[in-house]
This record gives sequence, structure tokens and C-alpha cells, in this order.
Amino acid sequence: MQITCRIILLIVAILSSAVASAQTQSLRHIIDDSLRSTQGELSVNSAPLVDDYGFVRRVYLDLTGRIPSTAQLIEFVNDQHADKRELLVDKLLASPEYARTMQYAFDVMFMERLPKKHISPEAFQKYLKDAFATNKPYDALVKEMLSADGANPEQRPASRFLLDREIKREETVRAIGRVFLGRDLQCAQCHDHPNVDDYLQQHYFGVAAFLQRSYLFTDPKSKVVSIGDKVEGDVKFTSVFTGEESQTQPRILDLSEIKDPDAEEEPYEVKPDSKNRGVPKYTRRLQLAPAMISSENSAFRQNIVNRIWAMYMGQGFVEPLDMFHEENAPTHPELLTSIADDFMAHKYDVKYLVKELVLTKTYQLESEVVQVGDAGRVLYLNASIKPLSPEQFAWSLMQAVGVVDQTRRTALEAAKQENADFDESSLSGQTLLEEKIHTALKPKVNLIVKVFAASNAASRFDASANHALYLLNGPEVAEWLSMGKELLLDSLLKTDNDKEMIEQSYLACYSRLPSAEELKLASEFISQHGASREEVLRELVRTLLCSAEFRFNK
Amino acid sequence: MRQDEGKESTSQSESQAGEQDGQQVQQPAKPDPAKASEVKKFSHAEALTNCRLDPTGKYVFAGAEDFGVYRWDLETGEKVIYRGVHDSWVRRIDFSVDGKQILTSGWDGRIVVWDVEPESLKTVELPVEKDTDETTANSGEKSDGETKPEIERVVDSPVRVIEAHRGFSRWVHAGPRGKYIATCGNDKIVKLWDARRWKLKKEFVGHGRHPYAVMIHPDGESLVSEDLMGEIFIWNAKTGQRTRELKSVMTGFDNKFQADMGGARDMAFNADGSLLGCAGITNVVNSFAGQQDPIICIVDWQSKEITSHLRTKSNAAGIAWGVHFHPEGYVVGAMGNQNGKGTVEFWSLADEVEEPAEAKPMSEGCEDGASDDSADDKTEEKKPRDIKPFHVVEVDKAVRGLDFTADGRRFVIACSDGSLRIYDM
Amino acid sequence: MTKRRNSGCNALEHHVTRRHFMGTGAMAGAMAGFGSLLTPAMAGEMKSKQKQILQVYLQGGVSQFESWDCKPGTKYGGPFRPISTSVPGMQICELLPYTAQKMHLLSVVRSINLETDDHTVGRLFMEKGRKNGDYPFVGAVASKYLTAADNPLPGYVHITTRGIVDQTAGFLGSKHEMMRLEGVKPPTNLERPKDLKPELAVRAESLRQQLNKQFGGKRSRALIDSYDTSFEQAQQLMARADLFEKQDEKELDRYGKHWFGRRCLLARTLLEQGVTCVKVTHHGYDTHAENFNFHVEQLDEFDKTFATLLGDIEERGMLDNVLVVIYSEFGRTPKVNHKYGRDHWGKSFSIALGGCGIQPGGVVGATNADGTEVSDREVDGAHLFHTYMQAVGIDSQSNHSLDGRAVPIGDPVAAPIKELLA
Repeated sequence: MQITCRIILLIVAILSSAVASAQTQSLRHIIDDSLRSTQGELSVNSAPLVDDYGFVRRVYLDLTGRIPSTAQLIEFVNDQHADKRELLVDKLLASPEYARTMQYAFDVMFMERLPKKHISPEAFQKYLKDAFATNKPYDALVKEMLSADGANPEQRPASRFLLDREIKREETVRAIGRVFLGRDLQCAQCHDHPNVDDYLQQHYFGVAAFLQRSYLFTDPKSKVVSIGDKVEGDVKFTSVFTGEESQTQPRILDLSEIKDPDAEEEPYEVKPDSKNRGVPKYTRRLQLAPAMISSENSAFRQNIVNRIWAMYMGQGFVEPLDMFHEENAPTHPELLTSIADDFMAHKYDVKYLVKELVLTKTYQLESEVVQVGDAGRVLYLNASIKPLSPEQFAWSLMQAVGVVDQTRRTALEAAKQENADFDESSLSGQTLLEEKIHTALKPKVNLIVKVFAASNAASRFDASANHALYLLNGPEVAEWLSMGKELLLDSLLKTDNDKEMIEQSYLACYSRLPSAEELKLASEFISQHGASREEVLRELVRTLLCSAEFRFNK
Repeated sequence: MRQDEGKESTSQSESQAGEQDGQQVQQPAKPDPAKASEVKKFSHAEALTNCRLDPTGKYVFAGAEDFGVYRWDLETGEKVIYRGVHDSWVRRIDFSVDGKQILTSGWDGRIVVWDVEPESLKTVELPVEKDTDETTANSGEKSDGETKPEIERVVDSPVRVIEAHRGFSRWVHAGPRGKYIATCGNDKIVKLWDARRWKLKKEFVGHGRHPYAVMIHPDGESLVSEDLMGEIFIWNAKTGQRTRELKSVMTGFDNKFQADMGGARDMAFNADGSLLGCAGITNVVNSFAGQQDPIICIVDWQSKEITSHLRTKSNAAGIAWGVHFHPEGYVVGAMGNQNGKGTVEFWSLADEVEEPAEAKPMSEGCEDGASDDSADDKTEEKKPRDIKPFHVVEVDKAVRGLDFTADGRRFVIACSDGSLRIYDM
Repeated sequence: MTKRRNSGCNALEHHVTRRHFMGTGAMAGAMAGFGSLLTPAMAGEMKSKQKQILQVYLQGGVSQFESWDCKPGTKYGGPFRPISTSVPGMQICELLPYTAQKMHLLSVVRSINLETDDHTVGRLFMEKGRKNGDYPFVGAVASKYLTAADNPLPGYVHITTRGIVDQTAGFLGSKHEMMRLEGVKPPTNLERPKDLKPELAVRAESLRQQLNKQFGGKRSRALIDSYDTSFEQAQQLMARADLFEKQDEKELDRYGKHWFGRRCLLARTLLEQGVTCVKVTHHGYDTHAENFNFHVEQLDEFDKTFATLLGDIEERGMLDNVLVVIYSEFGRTPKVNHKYGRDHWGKSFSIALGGCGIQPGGVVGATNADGTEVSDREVDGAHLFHTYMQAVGIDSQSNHSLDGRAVPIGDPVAAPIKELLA
């Protein structure tokens, strides 16, 4: 009882100080303090901070989408700066790989690997990458995506969210609810949600009403499909249980309805007909983005903070990510609110938020589970292990076996040939190089993503025998573990010192050195009879790549 | 009924309406879909499955989700029950060419022939409580035809019972010249019967999946049937040979549930047989929840090509349950929507293609529907035109059957709430 | 609100704290792993005596009116008629003519009330015999207690297409987790690299297990276990690639060349080879619209194929040792909706079961005249679970021993359906 009171007092204290002195206390400290206070006395059991090897691996995976190269690893470990972690984070956030990995993550979040309908996924991905490279505020990004009608070529990529769902009500309203509001309103289309008391039909149809008057328009000449709008069409719905009929104007959840302005005599800028895309003077669809990103709509910022938090911390405050509701309350409601409000106060600056998150102590804890007697599971006493996304896994695999480094060498040569003054240390040089590497390896990435993507796009981890079979027997891994291609195996076999070989393998795959025990185990493995050195070494590396330590961001 | 407008309506000529106006002199005012309004409503305790007006326009017959067939007198509202023979639902009714008999096809495999006006009716007293609340549950003002039976008037002696199909009899059609009757059922066989003695004349075998409907062409020379896979087969009535196969978009494979749904839910020829209409579904998204588009496909009989796809105004998910060629040349369809409501929609085949906006997802549906190998070049170069209705009558319940009087001034619809509604226009 | 959720609390947490699943160590025992790569010949012997289960899951909820509990001519009876079966006096729906001729091998339970109309809740209740809690599925329990220690095959295989990802093994550990086969086609990359010596492959697998043990030992287990399982399953599949050889055309003619026919033929092979629990899913019974046309199509596909499979199991003398269950997560509403559909209905529905330890030819329980509620011998998922377990010789009223604690195998509030047990 006493403890509870103290915790509450602490929370209150922290919250008020957070509000009062948001300028003075950085977000990373607010987060750490808040979590420590909810852990109460148990916080002394907190796991230690992860060592440099662990940190560099973790942060490379999270911010660049792949494990570090051995050279990058060693460089960081040998760095003597006291604030080297922050320096590394700044460096990675400025790199083109950061924009790429955010592109992957948000593409899956927004589009859930939907196939192409009208907009090429590549164009949308480029749009996302540019947005993260320039650190476009998240609210501005969403505003563009929810407003673009596809008619203007420049904004066309942004329209994929709506156009490639063909603004079909079932798909689009569900996606808007899940992706932007953290609420899966699907079941609420026929009746108030059977399991979730606060998902109401009016929520579903309130969102539907924004899009009710929109339609797909095919330009008769160019055959280009875009979104047209009309001035009539209202949303009515009938509960299958009660038979009651209701109506709603556009609205977001429980915020107020957005009423149409008084009708004008000529309501259209362009009248809809077979040759012209309808453009009303007042378009309901265009009210969606402002209503969504409005400060009144706390669901919007809490959802994205929950999702970004989960990307780095391995679990959301609300899980599943799309099940915000009263009976599935956030684990840390005050903290979620204060991060979300801070994010808004910082104008939805994604890099700011990411930097603060990865520089919390919470993020930097060891992932080994802390036992605290019978207290049950206490959140954030240790870091969570995070399954690599299919893209992270593909790039890490290629990094470990040397394919990425080899491709980089080739790309650099090509760049220098194209331009004698090529400067690989400049941002533009790095961007060009990254683009070249990405283009070269994209087919392989796609292949691996196809194998490892979960059957349910919303699920973050799926393990099936097919994954294991691919790693054990698949043609790519076999090729990458062969000799004579200037890949990992060639460099390992340059020495005949077992210890050195094993250490190099561990650095390449696990981004760390083996313990004495591990060294012994691996030595035994490679010294067995009946197989050549090349064969056993190949199996050693393959086994490291097949192990759980490689599959997870620990 | 035997007017020539139907023929004109096949023409692509856009001046058709004008020419028609010039020729038609016998009637002071034409039926006007815009003026269609409900004038009467009858009720039944169970959902109705279909309905037909007898050729004189005196009676309306309906099947229901019980084992009975019901006849209402349009004037008096008297309700007569035909029962005791079918032990499954009747989902299709037709009339003998002389109009004196009705033919009912049931999911019990039977075709039953009854008199439209039997010599005697049985009177059965009802136990008091049964069904009374539901039969009276309809809106006050228009319920003048409502019967509140404490007694039932029953027909239980049919003229003839034919065990027509192993598996359900899905369809019966009395050929226009009175000689033959066509049926089809879940034995996947289309059958042609001698209308007088009900002798089996010919069997037409070849549907890979259940045929849902079959019609005899007005010339009596050929039959047309459509199955679950949207395959429309045209058969030579004499030789039994299949002379043509059309692959329609009226089917879809539901990927999530791994099953096919499709087929004709109604079929009709226009008066001179130059056009065939097939009502059903397309663009299957999730048929298990009723999510697919209603569609009526129009087949030009001369070229044997699907020339038009009639789409509903709202594009609401559902099924087209009825199609009828109106003597004025337009097509009328009846929809039961996923949301429990319905419409009766009117299309002019002369209309220009509207709203290409909607054309895009539809045309993708075509690709879904047609299997790769049979999507021949012809459909590539000549895609059916999408046509939107020029008028829609909204109905607050799903509509499952539609029929018109011969003069085209009155139509009747059967609804999922057990109501039968009569409209004049 | 309360009626939407099951408030009855028999949460597993009463027996074991949550931490035991998320925390360290406790599950290390389940990590024994799968090291042996036995050849098919070595597996041959063990198949005969082992009790097995065949589950045929009609996904989405088959209509009881259109299958095991006809109500012809009643308010909600629908258009289909009952037919006689090989058991005098027992009638089932006319959509199941072939199965009707095998009813002397099966019994029907017509009085199931799950008090839920939710797919997931219903499915989990029918599989776990408990309405909530992280309990193992029927197949996982069978895998644990019926699979011989030296059986090189997975204990629990599910042949399906849709990726419903259920955690099926619960606290029994990933060794007993369901292996999902997507139809009958062999998984890709099933063949080992040609230049890899078998002996080296075995050692590599052993090394992988050691590495994971080290890594997982101090970390959250759930994810690592499921990753581990995927490798164990891959090993099992590689060892028995012969199971995926081309199916015999003559046999396919008997079973039907559709997906369900092929899957049932594979199911027979798997049972013959000694897989403890084989679950085959037949999709497409969630008929909110066109219930009758869909049941015509789906049960037409089911009926002949299932009857063929059941006949084969009997003819080969396996039925004494194979429990066969045909089930769904619930049934369908009496009321037919405006789309000719029937909706979800867990209040009064049926299943059929037979073989191993089950009294054949019986009907247990009844619904009232209109089929709207159970009128006699009401049972739920818990009773059924007990019954399956008892039938295959697992004492469902005894306990799992879990980290020193006793967890009842079946829900103690329910008992087996005695009259079904032979």
C-alpha cells in the first residue's frame, strides 16, 4: 500500500515536472525516470547496460537495418570518446541507411505488403525514403498520404495508401483505423464490436463518411486512375442486432462530427462525368487529414508513439498495436501520453524521437532476463529481444557473409569511374553509394523477404519450417558460403589459426567475440575428422546464421 | 407481350428511343419507371424465394422458405397454399403456355404441376396462436391485401409430380410454343421434357458444376443454361449438341474460404429472343459474407456474345435475383443487397457507358472470373459495355424475385421479410 | 459486456504464474530437442500399437442443420432432407450420402453448447477443452503422451492452407507444437546441399541446439522456442521427404483430385507412418450468405472424400487405434438471414466422432424441435476434450506435471461423456 502510494506520488511528481520543465529535462531522462518509478524498489534489479559490442549491433540494426561490418564494429569499440554512443547515434541517423530502414518499416506499416494496383510500390518507397531522409514531420507525411488524390503526378506516390486500396470501404477504413488510430474497427462495421466495448459502429462509419463521396476515376485518354469526389452520399448504417438505423457525418472516433458548409449553388469546381474527375468546392475526403493530425485527436499521436516505441523497445505500451481500448489499457498510460505530447510539441520530429528513445538507459539495457523473486514479470528491467524484420534479416545475412561489403567495393569503383571527384565521405556520396548497393542487392532482399514475411502482415514474427529450410538448404546461402567469390569464407581461410578463424566468424555473424566456452565448442566442431577445413568452416558459419542469436536483435 | 420493341433495343442505334416514340400510338401514356410506386403488399411469415404473376395478371404466386407455394388474388388478397407435395423449398415457378397450370421446381428434386385455379380448395382450420403476430406485422396503410387467416385455403392435389432430378431441381421453364419444358438440377443435367406427357425427350450433359437455370429460346430450336462457374452453354434442342460456350464473369473463387460462388439466379429472353439476360454476381470478394457485386449480363443472341454488363447504381454488394425485359425495351433487374436492402433498377441498353470510374475494378473482376485459358482474344478486343441504370426504386428489404404484367404497367417483387409488393408505373 | 466474455475463471495462472512462460529456465526441459534422423524403415515398427487421432476440422462452422442434426419441415429446418444411414433409426442430412453409409463407425453428439459465437473462442475451446488459459491443444497433448520417444516424426501435423497462427503446445513446449503443412506439396528447399556430408549435418544441428541453449537460457523463451521449433520441424521434414512423393493417381481418383481429396490422402499416409495427431482442415463453412448453396458445394467435396478416408482407415485395421473427430468451432444460427445465410451459433450444435475407444452408432444428446437450444445432455468443449483423451487412453482427470506443479489435463469441472466410451 505504501509502495503504491509512493509510486503514484512519484508519477505525479514526474509528470508535473515533465510538463513544467519539458525544456529542461530531456525526453530520454523523463522516460527512464518514469519507468524506474513504476518499477519502484524493484528497479535496483535492473539489468546492466549492454556492452559496446552489444550496443553497436543493436543500434546498427535499429537505425540502419543491418548488423555492423566488422570494421564498423571495431571502430566503435576502439573509440575513446566519452559520449561515443550519442555520436554514433547521430552519425547513423544522418546516414542514408537510416532513411532506407525507415522506408522499409513504414512501408510495411502503411501498406502491409499489398501488391501494386495503381501506384508502383517502388515509387511509394522512394517517397517514404525521401521523407525520412529530409526528416519530414510525421504529421505532414500523413497529411500528404491522406490528401493526395493521384491526379497530380508529383503527389501521385503519396496516394498509394488510398488508391491501392481502391478506396474500398472495408479495406480503407480498416487500414486507417489500425495504422493511424491504433484501433481495428473492422468488426464494428456490422455491429458494435463483439469483444471491445468501445469500438462502435459510429467510429467505423464516421471514418467511412470521409470517403463515402470519393470514387476511382479513370482518365479516358491516359487511363490513369485517380480519386474523384462528389458532393452527395451519406453514410447510414444498421445494426445487425438491433435493426436500428443511424447516420453520421465524418468524424474521428468520439470527436465532433464535421458538418458540411452550406451548399453552394454550383457545388463543383469540376463536375464529375465520364471525361472529368469530379472536384467539388468542398470535399469531404480532404477533411480527413486535418482531422486526423489535429491536436484534438490524441489517438493519432499515441498510436504512432506506441508503434515507434515498439520498434525500438520490442513491445508497445499497447499490444497488439492496433488494439487501443479501455480494457486493453497501455501498460504505462501517463508515460505514453507524455511522450506523445512531447512528440507533438516537437512538431512530429521523427529523428528527435528516435534519438531520444535509443539514448534512454531503458533501450541500452542487456536483454538477459532479470529474475526478481516472485514479483512476476516487471517490464523494462531488461531489454527485449526483437525478431529482425525480413528486411533486416536479409541485409544482415548479406552483411555477415560479406556480400554487402563486396557490393560496396564494386559500387565505389563504379562511382569513382563515373566521377573522378567522387567523395564517399560526403552525404551525397554516401547517398549515391547506398543507392547503388541497394539497387544491386534488391532482388536478393525481395527473395528473402518473400520467404520470411509473416503470413499475417500485422504479425511481427513468424517461424516456420520453411524459414529453416531456406537457411539450411536454400541456393543463396549456399552460394554466399562458397569459395572464390571474395566473401567471408575466403577471408576466414586466409589464416589457419583456429582461434582467429572462430573469432572472425563470431565478429561477422554475432558482432562480438566468443567466450572461452564458445571458443572451445567451435574449435571442437571445426577440428572434426572426415571433412575438409572448408566444409567444416562453412557449416560453422551456416550454423551461426541459423541460430537464434542471429535471428534476433538482442 | 409479343411486341417488337425488344428487337429494336438490341440495336446500337442511339436514335432508337425517338423511333419508338413515333411508332407507338396505341397507348395514351407509357408506363413510366419514374412513377413506380407501391400499391399493395401481402405478407407471409417466412421469407419468400421468388414470385411470378400469372399471364392474366389476376394472381401472384410465390415460393417461400417453407415447403409451400402461395397464391394471392391481387384484387381480393385471398391467399391459397399449394402444399403437401414438395418437401423442400420451391425457388422457381413457371406457367404452362396456356396459363392454366403452374410448374414448381423444388430442392427436393421434384417438378410439380398444379392448376392455377383448381376446381376445389380444401379449408383447414388453424390453431389460433400460430404465426399470427408475424403475418400481421406489416405497415398499416398499404396492407389492404393482407389475409389474417384463421382458416387456410389449401391445394394439396397436384396435376402431376415429376421426380425430375437426382439432387435438387433448380429451374423449370415452359417453352414458348407449348411443346417442351426444360429443367435442370444438381445432377448437373439439363433435361428437356415433352410438355403434354412429361416424357423425357433429351438430356444435355456437360456442365462441370451445378447448372442454376435453363431457358428455351423463343424459336424453340435451342436451349441456354448457366452453371455455378458462370459458364453459359447453348444447346441444340434437337441434337442435344452443345453449340456454344460463353464464359461470363458471373462467378468467382473465394480465396479465403476456398470455394466457388456464382451462376444465374434468374434468366430471361426478350420477346423476340434477340437478347438474353442473366442475373447473378461477379467480383467475388468474400461471398461467404455476401460481398460481391450484383450483375446482369446481356447476351446478344445473334452474335452469341456478351455485349453488356448491367451494374447497379450504388455498386452495393449483393446479388441480382431478377431480370426482365420490359415491353418498352429497357431491362429491369431486382437486387438483394448484403445490407439487407434491395432495389429494382432500370437500364436502357441504348445508354452511353457511364462513369468509367467504376469500370476499372469491374474489368479486373472479368480477369478474376475468366480462367486464363478460356479468356480468348475475342473478349479482349470486345469488352462488354458497362451500363448504369437510368432509374432505381429503393426497397427496404432484399428483393429476391421480380415479375411484370404483360402490359408492363405493373410489377411485383418478393422480399426477404416475407412480403410481396405490387408496384404500378 | 459480461455476456460477451467468458467470466468463468479457470485461468492457467491459478496453477502457474505467468512468469514461467516468459521467464528463464522453467522450460529448459522442453529443449531436449530433436537430434535423431531415423530412416523410414526404422519408424515402420512403431506404428501399429500407438493410439492416434485424426481431426477433420470444418473451418468456419459447419451448419448442424445441414449435417448431423436435421430438422426437416420446421421453422428453421432449411431446404434439405434427412436420409437414413447404416445405423437403423439414425438419420443425417442428405448432403452426406457417403458418410451416411459409414455411420455405423461413428457417433454423433448433438448437444454442444459453447456459449460463444466467436470463431477464436470457439476454436480454442474445442481444441483446449478450456475457454481460456494457455492450455495445449488436443493434438499437442496427444503428441506428448502418445508419441513413442523414438518416433522420428512430428507428433502433431496440421494440413491446411490458411495461416491461423495459434500457439498449440502451451506449456508442453515447442516439441509438441503443431507442424503446419500447406497442402500436399513438398516444402521448398527440402533437399540438403549435395556436397554436405550427412555426418557433418548432424553435428551442425547439434551445434545449433547448443548455441540456442546458451543464447536462450537467460532470455525470454517464447520467441526463441518457436524459432527453435521451426528448425526441429525442418529436420523432421528433411528426414521424411518421401512423404511428399507424388500421390498415386488411382488413389486420388478415389479421394477426389481437389485439395481436400489430396489432403485426406496425405493424412492417411501420415497416420500410416505413425504421426500421432493429424489434423486436416476443410475450409469454407462460415456461410453468412448463401449457406445452402455453399453447403451443397462444400459438403459434396467433404462427403465422398471423408467417407473414403474413414473406409480406408477401417479396412486397414487402424480404426481401433485411431480416434476420428469431425468438428467445427461452432454451428450456425437457426434463423436464416436475408442473404440465405446462417450466422455464428455456439449454443446448440453437433460433432461426429468414432474409432479408437468410442462407442459407434450412437447419438448423444438432443436439441429441441426447432434446434434453437439443447434439450438433453448438454456438453461443451471441456466434456469433449475429456472424452477424446479417455478414448485414446490418456487419463484426462490426472495431471500434467509441470515444473513440479500439477496441472489437470482436462478441466476438472467437466467429465468425459461416459456413454460414448466403449
